[in-house]
Amino acid sequence: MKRKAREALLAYLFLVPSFLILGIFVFWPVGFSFVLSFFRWDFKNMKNPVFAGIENYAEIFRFQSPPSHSFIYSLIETLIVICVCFSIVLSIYNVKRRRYLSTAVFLASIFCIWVANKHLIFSLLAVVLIVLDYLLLKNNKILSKHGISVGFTTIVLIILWIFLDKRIYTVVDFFFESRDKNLFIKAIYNTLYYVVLSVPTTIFIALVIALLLNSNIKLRAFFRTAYFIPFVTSAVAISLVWRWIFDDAYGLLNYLLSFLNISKIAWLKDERWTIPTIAIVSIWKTVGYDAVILLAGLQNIDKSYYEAAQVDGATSWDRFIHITWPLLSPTTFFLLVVSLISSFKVFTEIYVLYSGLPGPYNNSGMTMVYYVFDRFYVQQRMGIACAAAYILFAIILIFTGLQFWLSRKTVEYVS
Amino acid sequence: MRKFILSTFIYLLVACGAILMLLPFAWMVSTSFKARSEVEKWPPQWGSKNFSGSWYVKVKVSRSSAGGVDWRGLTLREALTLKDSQKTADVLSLQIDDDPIYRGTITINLPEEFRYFQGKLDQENFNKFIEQLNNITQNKQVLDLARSSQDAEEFFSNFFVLYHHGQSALLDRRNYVAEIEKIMSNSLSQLEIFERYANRIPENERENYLLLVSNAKKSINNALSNASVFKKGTIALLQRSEIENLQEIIKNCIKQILPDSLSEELKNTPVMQLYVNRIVQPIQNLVNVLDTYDFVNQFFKSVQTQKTDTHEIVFKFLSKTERDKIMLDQLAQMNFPERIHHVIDNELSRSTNSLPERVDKALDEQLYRYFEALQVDNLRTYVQQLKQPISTLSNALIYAGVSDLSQFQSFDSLAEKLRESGVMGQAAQISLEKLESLSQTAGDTELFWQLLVQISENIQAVSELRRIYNQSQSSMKIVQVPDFVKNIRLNRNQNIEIELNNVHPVYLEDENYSVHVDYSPREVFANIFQNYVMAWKSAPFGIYYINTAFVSIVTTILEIIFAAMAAYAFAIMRFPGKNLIFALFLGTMMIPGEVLLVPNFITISKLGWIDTYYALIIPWIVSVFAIFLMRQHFLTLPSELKDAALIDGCSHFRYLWTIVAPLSKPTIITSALLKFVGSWNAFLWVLIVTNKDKFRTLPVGLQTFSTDVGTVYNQLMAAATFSILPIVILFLFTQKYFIRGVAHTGLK
Repeated sequence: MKRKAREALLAYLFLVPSFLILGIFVFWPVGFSFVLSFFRWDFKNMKNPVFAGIENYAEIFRFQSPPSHSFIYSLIETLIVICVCFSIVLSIYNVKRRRYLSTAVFLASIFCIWVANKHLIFSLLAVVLIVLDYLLLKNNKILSKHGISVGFTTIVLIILWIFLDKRIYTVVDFFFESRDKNLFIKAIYNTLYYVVLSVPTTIFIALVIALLLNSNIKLRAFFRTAYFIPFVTSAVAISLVWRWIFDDAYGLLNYLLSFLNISKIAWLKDERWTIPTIAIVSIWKTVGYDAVILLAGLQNIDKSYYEAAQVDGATSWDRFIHITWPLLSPTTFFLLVVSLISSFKVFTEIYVLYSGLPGPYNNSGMTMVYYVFDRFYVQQRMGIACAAAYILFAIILIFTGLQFWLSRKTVEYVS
Repeated sequence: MRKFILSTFIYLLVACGAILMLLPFAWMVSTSFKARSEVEKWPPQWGSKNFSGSWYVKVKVSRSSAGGVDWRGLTLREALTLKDSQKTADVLSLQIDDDPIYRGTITINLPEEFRYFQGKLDQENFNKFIEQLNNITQNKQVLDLARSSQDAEEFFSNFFVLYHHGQSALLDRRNYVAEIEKIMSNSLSQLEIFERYANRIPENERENYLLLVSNAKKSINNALSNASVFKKGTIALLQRSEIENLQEIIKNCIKQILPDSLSEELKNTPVMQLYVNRIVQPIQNLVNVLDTYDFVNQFFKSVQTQKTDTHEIVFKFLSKTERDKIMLDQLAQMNFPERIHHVIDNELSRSTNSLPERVDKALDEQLYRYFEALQVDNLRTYVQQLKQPISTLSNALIYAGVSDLSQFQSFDSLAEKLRESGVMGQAAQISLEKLESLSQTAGDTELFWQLLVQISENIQAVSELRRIYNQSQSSMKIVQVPDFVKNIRLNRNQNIEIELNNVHPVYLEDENYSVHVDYSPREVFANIFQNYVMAWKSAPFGIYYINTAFVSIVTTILEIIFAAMAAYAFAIMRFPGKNLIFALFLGTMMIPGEVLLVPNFITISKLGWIDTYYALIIPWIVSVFAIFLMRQHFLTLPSELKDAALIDGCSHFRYLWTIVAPLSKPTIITSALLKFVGSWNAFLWVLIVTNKDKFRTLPVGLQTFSTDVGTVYNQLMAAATFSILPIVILFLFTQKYFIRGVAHTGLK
């Protein structure tokens, strides 16, 4: 008994240094930061912060001029769009079973799309559709059977409608419109744009590299090293190198593009190229890291699966689709989460590429972390910086949570 | 066969990918070797002339010898230098219009037809020439020059300045063609008026007159369009053949517009006189500018008859000891006041690098010590305030021929002397007033005057020292020269100054010189790494390096110790709340560091750790990832091992460090390396918690360096190269562990 207590005491002693440091520099700041985000604390009130409630959060989302419609309006419109699209898909899936009802739903939905500019009828019809949907779904196992494909089709339909139909005003329209009226929304937009541009591209290229490296070639170690080196080098140094490569007048990239008959692009001076430029640098920097992880995942797959497939006469495409991809999905999923989180935190590349400015002009390179840095270090408004950091934290949490939720349905864990 | 094609294809893809990945690094290294002029080139090139043993260098003759100088606008140092250079020798200066030269053997090739004139042209010959010139030229500027010039050399230099140099050079093609266009279009509009004057001409001559006017219009238009071709050219000045062509065009034009075809009677009418004055005369003046040039140039060439024995001027860089020796020799000849001499000797005993600056500082310190008795609030700022006006005054005094301030007893006598010598400009006036007002705060007049004299002495001594220092640093070793060359210097690696022996530089300035530099293999090597040396010197990279290494190493060691202890507790020991605490630890991995940025900064500043190593190290010595990694490995160790060890009386602490840690070496190395690299590359946090260079690390240093130098990409790339080199080398030797660590993260 006494020995156990002594061991526990010793264990706590072993943990003390780590706990102390984590306590001071992680646990305490997490809480402190949250509290700070509700205080007005800037260069004027440095000594005595004033409690300000949610003023900081309101300040972050304050518009320079109000957008054409309110957020609530766009939200309702979006919900209607989702409902209508869901109804269409549902009616198509049900067409064999409850012919009349599903035909009615289908026609009502189409009518809904047609009258999208007449708001009252549009909204009323949506309510009717919800009732009909409920009737359709009653005693029906369609969602548990085809849940994923229904969801996927609905999403595609929603995206198509939102982007093609200019009559409706959805959350997306609200977002695009308020981008120019609020810096933080612009930062969110830029960050999302960057994430969408860099994460899938990086993972795709990394997968190709990993597959190539996995195909029993000589000098594998050498190639792996070549791909991995950018990851260990300092972001500042390589961003400087890329700043030189992106130079519009004498840069190497424009020279290489000139072989493809592409005229000189002002990479670093054009607002439209800001985020793609940063994405190129980060893809180049992280692709080796992702490839090494994927390669390890590939080598972890049991060879016997492939042998069995070979015996059954499967082509290499079949083998990839039915063996490699499913068995690699935990690794891919892990990478997706990690890259997503790290992409949300992009900062150094922008700071160096644009010599300490968020983009060439018009804040075209303003990302969320840059926003935090700007409010905190440049403008010295600690409260607002904390609030913005917490919003970033929340967004990251939502995205990772969403991914985990999705992964439970799709990723096939082997172990 | 199919298999072979497939594998070739795979190899090709992989190799292309690898090349693309390494291309930025290759471009970085390639740029870091380039000379300044090669960086911004289209299309980009991979090689550099720094790799070759011989350069051709573009030079142009610069005109330091010509033109008046306003003495009052100069700094003391410039004034002294100028006074010195006028006293000693004539200097031919060649501006290097190319990359600066830092080492090597420089050869200036004289053209085959090189001629010069030694000594001074005798006055009689010159007067005869001026007489002839007076008959030929109508150019007022040239006539003024001829009248005001003391001797032939002065006339020639000013004449060529007028024709060749500056914004309004007469022979500049744009200027000259613009002049033609201005005058001829003016003539054309005048001719319109003359057409209307036809009614004042007698009937019988009227037709001839109109013919003349219309012919004149035609030929002037013709000449105008012919001349405008000469606006374009690769060289700014008109060349020999172009001058001849222009002369012919204009002379032809003049021939056609002269009223020769008209009767004598008509020529004498006021209209025709006006015609000659308004139309013919200006165009004649136009060509006269060229004729005058021809005449003077011909005479100028004709007096230069002497040939040289050798057609090469060869010189090379001195070694540092040789340069220092020259400086010491010159210093020995100077007679500084005793106290200044003492300071100089003292500084010399340490080193000769940037001697003037160091002596300046030491002399200031000396003043602070000597004049402590002075009743002022802050002696240091007081002395600094005095320095500027005294410097201006000393400058004026030197021009007045007085070098010693001590002979004056009051400001009144000083002002009088200045007024007497005619150097009492506005600057001197202001300085005097400032000194007077400062003297009132000092109280003790005698002591103040002593201070004044000493500061003045110091300023002069430092200026002299600076001059000697610069001169000795720019001295060259002569290898082979023609006999008219006395001495050669290379100023600021950009400007070749040739001291001449009894030859006026104007006789040498009319030649085309071609210059090349030869490098020995060692010098080529030094050239290649020139950018690295310059980048290293222009920012405190040494400090950055030491800081980065220190911070990274300490952080890594501490991290490993703490992580191993924590991991051991989690993996091997039993205690209540283990899983909860472990989950808490793992949860922190979800928190983005940016959320912690502000409060951590506040914590650090509350602790007073801004600009200390603590701020760079302490927050980063615990890594949950390392704890996790090690725990996973510790779990794989057999528990029998632990039981055996503990039964033998081994403590947990000893068991961890003597058995567990050695057994987990690969994991420990992996997490150490990941931490080391992360610490080496850390940017945002270091940027925020450091303000002084003394505590900055390489990434932040590199960033500040890049904002300082802007787009000097060759140095920037050199700095980038040497800042990532240690990490790349480390990675190449330990990549096994890196790859293992990274691969492990995906498989957990």
